[in-house]
Amino acid sequence: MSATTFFGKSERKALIGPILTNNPIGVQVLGICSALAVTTRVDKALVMTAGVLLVTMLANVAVSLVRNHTPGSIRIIVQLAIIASLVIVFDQVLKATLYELSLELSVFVGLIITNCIVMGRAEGYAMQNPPLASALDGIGNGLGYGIVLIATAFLRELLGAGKVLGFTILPLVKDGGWYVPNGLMLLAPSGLFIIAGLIWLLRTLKPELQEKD
Amino acid sequence: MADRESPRYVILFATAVCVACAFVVSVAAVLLQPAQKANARLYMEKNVLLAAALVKPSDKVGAKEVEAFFAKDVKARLVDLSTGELVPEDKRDARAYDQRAARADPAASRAAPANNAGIGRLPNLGIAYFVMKDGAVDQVVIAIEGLGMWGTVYGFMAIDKDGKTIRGLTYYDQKETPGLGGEIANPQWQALWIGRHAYDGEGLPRIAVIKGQAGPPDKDPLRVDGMSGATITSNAITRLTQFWLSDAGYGRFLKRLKGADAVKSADPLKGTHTFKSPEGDGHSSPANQVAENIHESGTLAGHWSGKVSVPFTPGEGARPLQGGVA
Repeated sequence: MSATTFFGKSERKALIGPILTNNPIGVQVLGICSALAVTTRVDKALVMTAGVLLVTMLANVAVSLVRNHTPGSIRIIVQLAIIASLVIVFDQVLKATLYELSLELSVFVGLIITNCIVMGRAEGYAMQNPPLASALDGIGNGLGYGIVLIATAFLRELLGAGKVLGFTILPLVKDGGWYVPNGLMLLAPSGLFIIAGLIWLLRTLKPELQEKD
Repeated sequence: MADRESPRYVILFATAVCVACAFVVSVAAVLLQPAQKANARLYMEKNVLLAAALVKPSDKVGAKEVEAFFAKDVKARLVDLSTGELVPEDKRDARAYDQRAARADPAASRAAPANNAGIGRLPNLGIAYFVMKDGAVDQVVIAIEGLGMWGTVYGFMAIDKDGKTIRGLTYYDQKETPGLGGEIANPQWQALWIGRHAYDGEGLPRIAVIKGQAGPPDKDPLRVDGMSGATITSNAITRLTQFWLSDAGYGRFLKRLKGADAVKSADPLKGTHTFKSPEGDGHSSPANQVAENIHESGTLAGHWSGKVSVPFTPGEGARPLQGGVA
């Protein structure tokens, strides 16, 4: 085995790959459920991104650290215990810092536990790779998820409420401006339209992603 | 090296993982609890202001803003639910009163009368927030709670000084199904209650969440739109709201508000005692006398008439207002 540098090619691939070429939402089509639910506002999407990023990263590191000691027969439940603990801690931190946002995100923070991305990376990557690469893979996947989430939330908040992060960009008619908000953007179906559109766009630009049937 | 698949190793490993995870979660929970409690309390008091429409849901309301309201326009008081009388202000700090803890404390609560709102025990004292406007009581916010579909829902209802008209409603702690019963936390649904009547013409709590749509508040004052897909939550809200508006809840207290017009004729200045102010000047201004009367009787008589309004100024307010509602 060649001596790997601290930040070699494989590490870079682990970090950068999931952001575009192997995007968890756009390519792996994971984590759609929460992506529809928490993208009505950019601040919700940011917090959710932070949650998934931190949990994926730390879960990957923890799973990777014990990977050579984990009995194969209980590896899934061990991963789940680690992920669940991290999500509960994140939820507690959120309640202690951003209380009202945590109420609005309600069950979706807890549902990070069942977010396929986290579990998928723990089982699919961290079980075979050292902690540092696993951490980068977690960050990369968190960012890949987050970029789609934030882009969707940006469009939904902008078109649905004329705002971005609570700041008015398009003044609404009811506030004396000119923009008539698109109410559909605040409902879940619009999230699907935008995300499905992104997936379609990605697959059109990169035809190698299309499955052959 | 131990055999990784032996039952002994698997059990030991699983135990180690569980203990480590439990430790991390416990430490986080214990360390963060004070901040969470402070946040929850702040959010609760913010909801009092929301119910009274003093702030808007989109407003950023921090501890400073809440304190400013409580220093000026909002006054927490305790109500003896069995009589509807106010507990004298100097006896207990109403804002520090924990109604949930009181409910669980046998010394501070009693078995609730038979009800269908899932309320087993009833605190002896209920909290009520008086909202002042131009020195007179404008509305009062009462705490409501009861069993929803998945757990207890906690909220506040603001009632006009007429003791009947609903001025606002919020739910600040609920575990109903997000998107369905969870819509009780949606300000748009809560706004449907505004202007409707807590009681019918005979003084019975009849306000109800119905299936389908209710008419406008002036034509259909006793019904509120139901939430689609949330029949159980809708019915639960009807039951718990009616319970807290009944005589078992705040009914007696609210009747006193309503009855305030009836006692308007009774001269609030008739009292013979001279009010002892903390400064000891002992003069007896009308405001002092009103405060004295309220203090003595523990009722709202006189104060609710609106004519003898107690001046409400936070700075020097302590003197004339002591013992009074404000």
